[in-house]
Amino acid sequence: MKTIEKQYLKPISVREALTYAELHQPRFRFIAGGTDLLVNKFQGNEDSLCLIDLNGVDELKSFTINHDYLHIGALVKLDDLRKNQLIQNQFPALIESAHAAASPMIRKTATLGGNILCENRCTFYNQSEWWRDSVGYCLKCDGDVCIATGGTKACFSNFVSDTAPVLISLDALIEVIDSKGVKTIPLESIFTGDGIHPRNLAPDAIISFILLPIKDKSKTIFKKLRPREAVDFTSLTTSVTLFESNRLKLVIGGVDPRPIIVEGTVTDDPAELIKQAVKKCRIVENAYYSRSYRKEMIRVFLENSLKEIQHQ
Amino acid sequence: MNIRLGATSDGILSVLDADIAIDGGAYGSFGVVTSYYNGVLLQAPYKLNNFGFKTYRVYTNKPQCGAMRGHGAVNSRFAVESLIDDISHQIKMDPVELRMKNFLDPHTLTVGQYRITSNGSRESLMKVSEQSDWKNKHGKLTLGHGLGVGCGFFISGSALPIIWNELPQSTVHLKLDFDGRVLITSGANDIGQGSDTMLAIIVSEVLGIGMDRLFVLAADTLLTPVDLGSYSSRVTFMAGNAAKHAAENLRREISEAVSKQKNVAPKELNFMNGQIFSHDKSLELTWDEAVTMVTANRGAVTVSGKYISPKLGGDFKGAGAGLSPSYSFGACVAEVKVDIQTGQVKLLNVWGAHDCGKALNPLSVEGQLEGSWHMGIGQALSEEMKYYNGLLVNNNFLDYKIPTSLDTPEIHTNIIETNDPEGPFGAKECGEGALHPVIPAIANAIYDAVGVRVTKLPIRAEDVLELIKLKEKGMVQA
Repeated sequence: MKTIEKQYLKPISVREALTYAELHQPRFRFIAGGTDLLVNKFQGNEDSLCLIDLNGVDELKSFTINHDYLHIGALVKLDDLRKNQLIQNQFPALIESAHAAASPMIRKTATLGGNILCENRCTFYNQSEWWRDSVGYCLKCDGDVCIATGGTKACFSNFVSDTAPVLISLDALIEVIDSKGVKTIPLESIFTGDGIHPRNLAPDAIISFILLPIKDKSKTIFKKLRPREAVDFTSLTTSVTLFESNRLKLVIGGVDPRPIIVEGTVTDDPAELIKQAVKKCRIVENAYYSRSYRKEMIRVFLENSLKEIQHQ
Repeated sequence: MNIRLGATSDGILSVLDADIAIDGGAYGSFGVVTSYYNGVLLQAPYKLNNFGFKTYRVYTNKPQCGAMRGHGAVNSRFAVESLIDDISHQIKMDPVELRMKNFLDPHTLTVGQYRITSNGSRESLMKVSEQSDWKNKHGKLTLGHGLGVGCGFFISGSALPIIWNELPQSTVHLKLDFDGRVLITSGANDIGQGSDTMLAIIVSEVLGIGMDRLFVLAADTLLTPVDLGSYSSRVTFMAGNAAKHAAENLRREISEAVSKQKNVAPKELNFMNGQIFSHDKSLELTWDEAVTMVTANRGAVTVSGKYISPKLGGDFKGAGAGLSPSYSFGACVAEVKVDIQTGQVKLLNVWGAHDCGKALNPLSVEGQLEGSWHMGIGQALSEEMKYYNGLLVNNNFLDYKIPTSLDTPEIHTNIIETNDPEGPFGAKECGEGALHPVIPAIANAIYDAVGVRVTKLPIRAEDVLELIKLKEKGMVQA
């Protein structure tokens, strides 16, 4: 039998990374902080043979301002966001959300790009190989039934990024580079809503920069539901942004395979906005808190956020 | 579990009846012991003249369970202390005062004939109620903010071995060689609690020599004597007593050798600060000089010490359950904030006090107490084994929710020292007993904060919220 060779490559530029990707497709993965990917690998949910480590790509570690946008390199560590003066002044909720992720040690390794792309999670998916084997594999790991719901059609693994809801509510764009070229798209446009394939990015796509509009003044309230004050993944994340133009953007994570977005204005009836938001979330019994509690907390979190944001 | 507690209108507890079933998993494991502990360990720290319990251990399709800190009695203690809180509200008596009225005295027997020796219950409760400003805060804080109290007690080593045998419960050997070093061998396992240090402290105290001359060799079945093990909070009490007995035997050997050569009565000799001297100091020897006298023409001196529990308990069926040569006592006050919109509980402070007899190694005692309270906090608020078709769902430290440092409040630690007549230098256990009061203290604080009585562990935000809503609707809690 032929031994399968595993490879670890460390490019120093995006161009080199894409070349490696082409050589090793389809069984390769880009790795940045690795705090999500390696756990999934350890549990047997990630089986690529080649890891292309982006940590040597220095061009993706900078903060720059360009055309009314703050460009944050995708390789910026979660812990380093707070060191940027502009983010501190204008987007404190982004720092808050970055610090709601994981633990101090992990935040020194995990990157902003990686957090946005954090794999969807489910009680029945994030388990060891033998655990999933004995329970029966679910839809997300090539099985034929969703264990959380008993259904066979849809996977409801949760979108759990802490920073993405804040970035989306701030109208963030991302710059994506793949073999076809460079494009700048709204962050929210990459999420498919399918728990098995939660993002529509090509396998060789690299998020190079996250772009935050700095001209449009705004306030954001971030909230995260979890049992402990550190380490835990979210059971519900909300980010509510109020722009100077009186536009409101509500983003909800942790309760659906994708971030849920509801837009309105301050003159809208908050109860109506919340009702719309709750209706969009496909919550099932697959996280630490029960379905009904998470559903109820969406209302509580959004109500409080909308109150706080107008009194700030 | 179904527990009934009766009290007179002036707050004297009169009857306790418990009916408890345990989901124990697929194998027996410690099942029998756990089953009787959850009942019999309710007969203190309060005087009860009428007491009974029934217990069942049910075999289920889950992994077997064993002992965890506070073995068996932790959950039923939560129930009893919650009931006491309930009674105190019903008869409008301060829960601290009610407990003070009902504590067993030192040197007494419980209803099931446990021999209570030293008892620091009152001192412990007084300490935490003073420190937490209980009188000015309990029942007087704003909605969502509360203070709760709980007490507890635990065995200081099981008096009866699980596997019946005639061996001493602990044996310690000492070997003194011509160079003045003493080798301590013991089967007691140092599992991080510091039992090796404890053995050295005791031998050092008896022989009056520094720790630099003492060497501990522990838990090597090839070289060390039999010890029943590190469980049931028994090591300081039992291995400690065996070490003390061994050191006294060695001291007698040395005294006799010195006495023969120097013509001084053995009982005239003192061992202190590396010296051996007579009462009137007419004889003063260094440790090394004395060692030369005892090892000359003889070689190394080897002695043994042991501990065997005295005969304890009544002569009725089941009287052997929970017997211990001594018991530890303690109290906790917890301060919480409860978010009435989400049911989330934030623990702000824990004041704890524990009677460990004489604290032989205060730093290590403090560590044990804080460890117990921290573990209790987890058990109270977040730790839980979840199953799916008999498989553990949260079998890792991401999903099994041990409180992080951010979830752990300020812990105010108080070591309450009593002098136990039978413990080594008056010492008792401090490894498990401290845990018992902290869980009900947290639950009672939640009652003080929002007026709901949680009867399930861990206390989950969603359950608290559900109860708050029921209360708002004016519905009676089941």
